[in-house]
Amino acid sequence: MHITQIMHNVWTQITPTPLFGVTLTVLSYAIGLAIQRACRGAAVVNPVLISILLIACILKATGTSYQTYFAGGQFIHFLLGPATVALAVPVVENLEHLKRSWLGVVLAVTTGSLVSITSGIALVELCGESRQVALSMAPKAVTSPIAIEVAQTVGGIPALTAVLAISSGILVAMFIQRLRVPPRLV
Amino acid sequence: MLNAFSILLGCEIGGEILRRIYSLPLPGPVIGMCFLALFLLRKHSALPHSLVSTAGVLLKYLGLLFVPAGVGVIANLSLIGAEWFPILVGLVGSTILSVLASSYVMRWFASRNQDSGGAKPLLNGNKMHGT
Repeated sequence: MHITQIMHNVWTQITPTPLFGVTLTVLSYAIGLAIQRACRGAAVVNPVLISILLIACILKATGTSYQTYFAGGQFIHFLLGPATVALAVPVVENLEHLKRSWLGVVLAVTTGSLVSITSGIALVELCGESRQVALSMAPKAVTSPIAIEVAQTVGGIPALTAVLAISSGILVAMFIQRLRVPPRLV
Repeated sequence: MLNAFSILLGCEIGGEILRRIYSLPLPGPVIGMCFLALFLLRKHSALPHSLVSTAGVLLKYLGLLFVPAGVGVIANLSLIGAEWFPILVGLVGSTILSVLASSYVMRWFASRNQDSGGAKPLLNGNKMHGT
């Protein structure tokens, strides 16, 4: 048998197994982290976005479906649940810091969330007509694992929300740096 | 590690059960997170070491965990192509607006507190944003 034919056979046998999706995800994330480290941790160079793009390109180039990839991807995706629960640990650990100005934090978070949700929906509805996109935009300000779950609950597209939440986080990281230099900008 | 994972999964499934019984509009893992926070607050002693280290590992690689969900956008490429403009305006506009709103409220609160000799302001009064 010709070598390319053997490779093709192996490929078609490997891709439907969970091993393919898991390996692809872990490898591409490791590459994303390495690229971020090479760029000295710049906020724009986000390992999650890099690995999503990398996997998307590989799937497109090889004509592999998302379903095939998700046969493995679901195992990593599953861990989002326990990881979300685990967010309680840093919250409790930092409670002492939060206690000092908890009312301010609660007020600021509530205002920011309301502004994010309403302005996100309003701006999308104003410029476009997709209700689904508007609903995917709504939960983006919350931390990504929760945003994904919320998108599922309110009828948005979880995948779109994931990307929006990550992009929004990158924007904030870039914006905050500017905000902090002149302390009285606002 | 095993105990810690049992606690995390137990809280998550507890959250899912509660959500289904009362048809709550909250995701199960978020309710589970509240369970764990309450549980940890009730125990006034130090946090269990295995739980802290397991949570630390999970949260250190939190980014990795939402890669499979994010790759799902390839199924929505046509939608993004058609709606790229509202998506861009909504994303940038509402992100900037919400950061401004949060920091404005935090600053207002901090300056009000300083007048009465209260607490020092937190540097970034922002919610856990994105990433």
